[in-house]
Formats: sequence, structure tokens, C-alpha cells
Amino acid sequence: MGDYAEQMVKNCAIVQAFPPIDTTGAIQTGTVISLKHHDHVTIIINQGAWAAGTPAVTLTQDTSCVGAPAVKALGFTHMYTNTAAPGSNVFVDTAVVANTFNLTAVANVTTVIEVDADTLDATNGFDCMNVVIASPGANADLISGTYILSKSRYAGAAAAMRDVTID
Amino acid sequence: MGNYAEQLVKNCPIVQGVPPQNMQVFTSLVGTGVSLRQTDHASVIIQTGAWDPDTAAAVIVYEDTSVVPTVAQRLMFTRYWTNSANPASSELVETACVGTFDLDTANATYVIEIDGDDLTAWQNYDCIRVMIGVAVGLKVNAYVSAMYVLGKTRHGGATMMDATID
Repeated sequence: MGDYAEQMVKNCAIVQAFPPIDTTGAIQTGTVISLKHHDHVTIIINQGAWAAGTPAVTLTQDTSCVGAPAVKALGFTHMYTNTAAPGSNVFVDTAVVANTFNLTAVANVTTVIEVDADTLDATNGFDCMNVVIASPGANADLISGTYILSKSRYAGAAAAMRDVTID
Repeated sequence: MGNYAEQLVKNCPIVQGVPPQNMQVFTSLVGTGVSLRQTDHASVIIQTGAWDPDTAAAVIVYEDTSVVPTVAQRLMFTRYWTNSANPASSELVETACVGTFDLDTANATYVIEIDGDDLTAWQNYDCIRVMIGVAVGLKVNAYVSAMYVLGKTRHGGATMMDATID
């Protein structure tokens, strides 16, 4: 059962991973967010018009949101895609091999990755993460990315509104 | 406290409202229609990217009796939340409004919260759709995308109902 109560803005942090953009020839390095105050993050990648290209998606874990922190790959094993968007919201669960997958060269696809905070290497200070989309090549591909951080450790609107771009 | 459990994708329908795109001059964007028949809440999340100065596009929400435009009427909402400091901050600011507001800032996030009981259900209005009006002042850049996250589903399980079917 969907059991988040009341308004998402008062229960979850909503953050742009990267804004809507024509990503031709460019890597999209998502905003680095801290999971210090949340136990889960949902990464939502929306594709718009898509000329060609199948860029790789990876996750990075970091020791800080700013500066030049230590970084390393963040493992994940599943991703969810809806290739019928916006005409449907039905997602297909697909196993991920070697912590990466490629976006499909199809317009209007929505892709979701679910990350639990306990998959980060907190023992070594890695409590931040971000998503990275490789360049799709010289193609006019429209894309946007969003983080929704949930299961906040502290109650109330102020906690949900905590600035997760600060570690 | 953030109290929805487990994975969002298995608890809340996530629907593209408006795919990422650069708005065209004199063209408004009509979002996907979603049904609230099986969920009690919808969060409408709108993101802007590159955005020309002095450009504004009005956001309104329609309620309808079907997910396809049928007998749509304006749905009143009185608040929205915005973060115009992306990506340097994640803080959302609550602002009062009277059923509409303007997108006018680059790299901003806007959120509208709608409860199912805001709709005129007794007249069979159980669907909503976001609309982004003509970008007034647009010269080159007005990148935008929108999506819905529907919460408080009435039925559980990993196989989500399709909210694009009424």
C-alpha cells in the first residue's frame, strides 16, 4: 500500500539531479546529495524527444557534497523502466549487471533506480551519492533527472526540507 | 517524518506529465491526464532548465472526468512550493497562489500538492492534468519537464495500477 501520508514536500526531499536539457555530446553529472538524514532515495530519469544514443547510467558514492571528495562506484542491482510513458505508468523491473545499464534510444521513457542508504560504504565515510549519465553522442536528446529522498530520520516539514545538498 | 515505506516505484505511480523539452513560441503544453480513482494524492513536480530572462509560462491544473480531455475545468489550488536555488540547495519555499503561478526561473523545481478530495468527485471529476501555458517572452530557451507522483494508493503490491487509465 502506498503509505506516505500527506504532502510529499513535507515528507520527502525533492531535488533536481539535473535540469531538463538537450544533452547532446555532454555528460550529465547529477547533483551530489547527502543521505545523512534520509534512508532512501528514488532516482527518476525522464527522457523526452530522443534522436539516438544509448548512454550508460552509473551511480557514484562520495564522502562529501562539495569540493573534491573521494568517490567510488555505488552498486545497484535493479532498475525500472516505463517505455510506454506518458501513455502508461507501468514499470518493468530489470536486473542490472555490473552496476550499470544503458538508457534505451526511445523517446519519453521513464527510468527509476531505488537506492537504500545502507548500500553506501558509510564505514569509510561515503554518505553522499549522485547519478551520472554518459554522453549519448552528438544527438539531440532531451532528458531530466530528479531525486526523491524519503524515510527521513527526523520528523516534520523542517526535516524533509533539510538541505540535502549539504553533507 | 518521511513515512512512506520501501521503494517508491512499488508504492506510488510515477507518471510523465510533460516529457523534457524546450517550449516553442506560442505553444502551450498539455500534460498527461492521470486518474485519482485509486490514489488519494498527487504531487506534481515541474522542473525548468535553461530559461530565458523575462520569460514566464503560467501553470494551471485541470480536473476532468476522463484522462483524455473531455469536460475539463480549472482545479483550484492555493499553494505551491518552489526551489529556485537548484542545484546548490534542495530547500523548497511555500508560496500562496490562486490556482496558478508562473514558471520564470532557470533550473528551478516547482511542486503542487493535490488531494483527491480537492476534485469535484460528485460530478465525476476524478482525473487531473497539468498545463503549462505559452511561454511569454520566449526567445530561445525554456526547457521544462513535469511528472506526477501519486501517493496514498488504495491497493497494494508491486504491480501498480495504471493511473493513465480512468
